[in-house]
Amino acid sequence: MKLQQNLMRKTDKKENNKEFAGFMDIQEHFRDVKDVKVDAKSEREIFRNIYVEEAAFDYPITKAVLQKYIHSNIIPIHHYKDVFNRTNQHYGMQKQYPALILAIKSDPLLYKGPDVCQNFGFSNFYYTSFLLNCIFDCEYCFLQGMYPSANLVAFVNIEDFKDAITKIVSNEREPVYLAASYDTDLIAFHGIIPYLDYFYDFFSTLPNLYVEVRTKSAGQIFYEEHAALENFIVAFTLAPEEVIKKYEKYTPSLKARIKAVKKAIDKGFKVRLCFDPIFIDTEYESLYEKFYDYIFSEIEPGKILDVGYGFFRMPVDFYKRIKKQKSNSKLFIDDYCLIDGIVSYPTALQEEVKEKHFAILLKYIQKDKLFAL
Amino acid sequence: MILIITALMIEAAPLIEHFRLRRDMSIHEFPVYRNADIALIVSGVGKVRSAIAATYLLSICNTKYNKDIENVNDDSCIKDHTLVNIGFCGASETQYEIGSLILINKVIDMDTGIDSYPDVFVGKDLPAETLCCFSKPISKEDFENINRKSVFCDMESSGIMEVAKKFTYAHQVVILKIISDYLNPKNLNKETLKGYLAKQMPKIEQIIKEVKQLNYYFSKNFTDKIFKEEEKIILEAISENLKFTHAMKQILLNEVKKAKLEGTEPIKILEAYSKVKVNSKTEGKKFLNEITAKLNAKD
Ligand code: SF4
Repeated sequence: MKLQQNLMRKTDKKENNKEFAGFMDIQEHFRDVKDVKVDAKSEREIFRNIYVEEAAFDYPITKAVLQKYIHSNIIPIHHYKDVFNRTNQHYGMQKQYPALILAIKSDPLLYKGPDVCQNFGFSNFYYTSFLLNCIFDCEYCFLQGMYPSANLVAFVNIEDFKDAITKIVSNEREPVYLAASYDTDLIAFHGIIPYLDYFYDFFSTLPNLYVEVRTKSAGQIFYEEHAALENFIVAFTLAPEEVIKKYEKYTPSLKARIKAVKKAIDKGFKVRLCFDPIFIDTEYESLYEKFYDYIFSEIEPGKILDVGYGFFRMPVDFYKRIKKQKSNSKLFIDDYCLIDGIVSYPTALQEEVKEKHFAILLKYIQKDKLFAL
Repeated sequence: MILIITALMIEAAPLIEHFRLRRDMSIHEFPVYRNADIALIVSGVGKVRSAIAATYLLSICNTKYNKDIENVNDDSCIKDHTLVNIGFCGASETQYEIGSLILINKVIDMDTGIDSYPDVFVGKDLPAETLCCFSKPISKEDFENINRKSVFCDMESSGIMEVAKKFTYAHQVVILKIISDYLNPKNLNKETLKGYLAKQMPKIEQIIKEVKQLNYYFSKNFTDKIFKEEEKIILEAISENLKFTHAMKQILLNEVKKAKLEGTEPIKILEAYSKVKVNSKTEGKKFLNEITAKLNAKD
């Protein structure tokens, strides 16, 4: 029953609605997306199609989701890859009207962290994905190049994930750092499947595990309902409002995100701020300096765990794939440098901009708390 | 374009009449009818025939009928079409009335066991079901030997789905079925069947309208249609006069596109080069560099 209540509850209605705007009927997109309001009817239709692996029907998460979305078409499938890996899907179109796929994840359930991700000083860096894809639609998101589909795959076998995490933690002597929401946004998805509720007690039993949950969500329900954990870090990605408007479709405004940051801090959560990705562009360059000052006028620097900083970057294969589908995107037509298989700005330019930005950031944050990639 | 595939003339006739399609007398392989944005082909019964007909229609739409379709990228045009299969199907259960229209979100090829999934973004008010595609008509007795609780069955859909997998995006195929019988396909009357289709025409028309909107949204947001007609003519002339290779032409297109996305109008710069002619590729390369520099200097 608690599970059901959690699924049904909504806080911060306005921002939640904006997060759900991504699921609006395609016809709504002929109007200005920002003006779209989600009413009770369309909220029921968030997932018009829910694909369910035959073996996944009996899991509690599946039952809860299907009870919630009673108006969706339920399509039984053998394996999620039968739908997710189809070769002729259009990522951009699916983003307008994504389907949900409920599936069972088989091994491996955890992966060693790749070099393009920040490890914040931890050598035992792993990441995991309970959820493939994201409800937001950032123009720069590498998932567009990584997956053939924009449909959301939610894995329902959470006990298997817990077993895999326990195994890794008990095999490692050093603390394990686990990025649980690096390539999705679990907090934004909380109203659909509250994964963090299911894992909260489990995380609290593993002091040798540090979990980072990255988010752009303005949802506050998780911080309101749970006490802070020593080994649980909420990493808020923040950007100048102009960048949010231009590149981070369906995400909450900077103001709304700052409100959520404050709530998390008030409730004692360890909060990381991520200024990542940074864009070097004549249009945006001047914005960042004012932006950093604004952030730290709103958020007390002493209450922040640390800061992550990184430039727009992407593995070249993903970049090429996205460029092909997003032929009208300015971001993907600009010139970049290719270094070690990663597309980004030229190193010298990065250094120059970083120096300027760090001069401001260091007014607020100690050097050892500033992690750049 | 909307490419409608029906198996039988009785399925096609109400559509031809409603959308005022005209027979293309230059085509003899299949009966093909069209207007400005809809083409219809009558494939004959079965998944092999439906696959051949759909492929044939796609290919003539990309050659013969494509002149009026704006297109810059050589390979993008085929992605502008949506296949719509409209036809009758049988149903084992009676939860829908005879004559009901259903939208298909999964097709099972009953010979191979292969499942296909169209991305269904249109027709949200229609009931959606799984369709089983058989190689022969299915009767009540046949159904008893199939290991399924219930079934909607046709004979063309898996052929259409195979074509879609090869040539279109998953959202560019729509399978619409009208229930003609509860697995007693022998007692069907042609006029009654036509009547079922005619009755569903408002819903079919609505779906076609939604598919057009979807195509419009798709081409506006995801295809390379940012060049105006006069720009395309100048770009072609420059590429030819300056002896550009395919790669050089792509660089030019990219630079012009970039300039346009940045909000500048590169036509004036281009015009100055439209009449220049060169004798060698090396000379052309110099001009390419010059044009690129000017386009970049503009922003
Ligand atoms: S929030 Fe992150 S995962 Fe989600 S779309 Fe944006 S970049 Fe991608």
